[in-house]
Amino acid sequence: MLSIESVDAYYGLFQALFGLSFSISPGETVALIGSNGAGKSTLLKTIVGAVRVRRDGVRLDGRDVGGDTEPQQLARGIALVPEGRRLFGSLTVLENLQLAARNGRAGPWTIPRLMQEFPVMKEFQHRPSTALSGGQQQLVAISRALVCNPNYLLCDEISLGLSPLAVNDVYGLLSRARGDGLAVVLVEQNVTRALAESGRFYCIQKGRVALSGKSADADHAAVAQAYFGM
Amino acid sequence: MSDTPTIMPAAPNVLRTAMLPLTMALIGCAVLVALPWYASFATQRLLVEGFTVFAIAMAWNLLAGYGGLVVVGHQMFVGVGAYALFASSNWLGLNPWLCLPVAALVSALFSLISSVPMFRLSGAHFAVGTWVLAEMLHILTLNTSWLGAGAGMPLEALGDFDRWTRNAGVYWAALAVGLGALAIATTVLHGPLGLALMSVRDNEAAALASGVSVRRAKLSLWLISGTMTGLAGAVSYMNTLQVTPDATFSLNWTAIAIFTAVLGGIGTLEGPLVGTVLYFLLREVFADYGAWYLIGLGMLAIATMVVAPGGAWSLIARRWPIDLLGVRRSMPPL
Repeated sequence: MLSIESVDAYYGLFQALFGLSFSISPGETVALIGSNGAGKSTLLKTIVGAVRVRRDGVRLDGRDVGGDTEPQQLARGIALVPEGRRLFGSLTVLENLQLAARNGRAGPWTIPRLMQEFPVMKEFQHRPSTALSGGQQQLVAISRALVCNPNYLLCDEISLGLSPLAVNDVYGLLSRARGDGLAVVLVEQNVTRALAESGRFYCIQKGRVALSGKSADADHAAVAQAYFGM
Repeated sequence: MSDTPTIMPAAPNVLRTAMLPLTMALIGCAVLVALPWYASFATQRLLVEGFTVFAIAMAWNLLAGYGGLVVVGHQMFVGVGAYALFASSNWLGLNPWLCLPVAALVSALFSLISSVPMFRLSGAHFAVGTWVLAEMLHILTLNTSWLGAGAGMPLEALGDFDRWTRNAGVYWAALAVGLGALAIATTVLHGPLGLALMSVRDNEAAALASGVSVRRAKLSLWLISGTMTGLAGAVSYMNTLQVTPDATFSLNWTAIAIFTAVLGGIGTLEGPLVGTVLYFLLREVFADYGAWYLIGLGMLAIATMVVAPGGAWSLIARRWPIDLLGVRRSMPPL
């Protein structure tokens, strides 16, 4: 169980999160929806330690782990797929994965397994990671997080700027990973897709939770209202 | 079936392509090692300078080009290494060659200690901070009588050796430092530290998300680079036989390192190699022009940055697809 408990987060003097609480259980998929600047990415950054919070702000399996660094959270099994993919352009695809595998945990996701599951990635493994299409880059970015063998995978806008076909590929990869009991936090602009892929959702607005519940029961009018704040 | 593209060419081909450069490298090494038996003292001294400048430029390039640590006070490592050698040899009356490991050790220790205040700074503050630290050491040695104060120290024990042994010995030490710098830089960049550094250079946020400890990677690089520079500085001053605060802690060392790395190609392994050759060619041909020579060097550095920011090596690599040391990678897009 990973949870955020009434957390305030700041960028300098600017407050991005206001007493926000959030939780996710092992194996669950939770969607975060909300307009740009609502605080979705900040919430993810708070969980992985890129934005500082108080010690008891982040709890993992009953322990206070807030304020620790990203490598420390990664070692505990919390991995982030950053927005905009952010592959390492001077490294090859394989080297991108090797770097993450070295720093991550041991587990079922290894580089040979990823190559086996995605033959297309095996074909371009020696290419510079920036010489790929957007969809391919996103697959590498998710794989880079998966080889760290997380229990919780935080995905920030993984379908942004991709063709509909590539989006399907990306979600295909994600559902295979979820088959292994991985918990996934999805930040997604496409509300319909987000609700379809997730079990629960949080709608975030101006740094606060405006609406939350089971994705299957979500009332689109209520979500739209929480989304736009009208 | 999809396996076929990933299978590498058959072994005999690999062997044949690997043998030629290896043979050439071995012949080259033999020619360089045997040099004291057929070259003049002047040539040996010039090459000592060349090898040590190369090592110092390579160390600076590792920090700036791979670690994003732009050091303006790089001369502090030169000074610490040289003073450690002279002081330990003079006080203990030891063979100076045996004191080279001491110089390396002291440089490593100094790097470790100096990282504490320096790594609290970043960007421009870090650059200026290193300069301030170098200046502090300069002033400290100027006022320390047991280090010879302003007059500095000669390397007394070197007087016990005849001229040939002295020159050849210093030359071999410099050759070892130069080849060692190249070998260490290549090994480091091929290894996990190289991957970590290049990921940080590409995107620090994503590197952190991939569990790279940015601090540890930069500290390792600082230690390697500082020790390399310290040892090169020590050997370099064995060549001149005298350390003085003004020369040993001179900003000139950093200027030469930056010039060499920029001219050859910053952020590449081949850059400092090409840069050192170009720098010494320019110096041997034009140094007689005095101030105009220095103005020319400055103009050339500016022109390089404007016209070919990747340095001379980028011009070579653009025309011929050679990857001399096997770690050529494109710079990250801005």
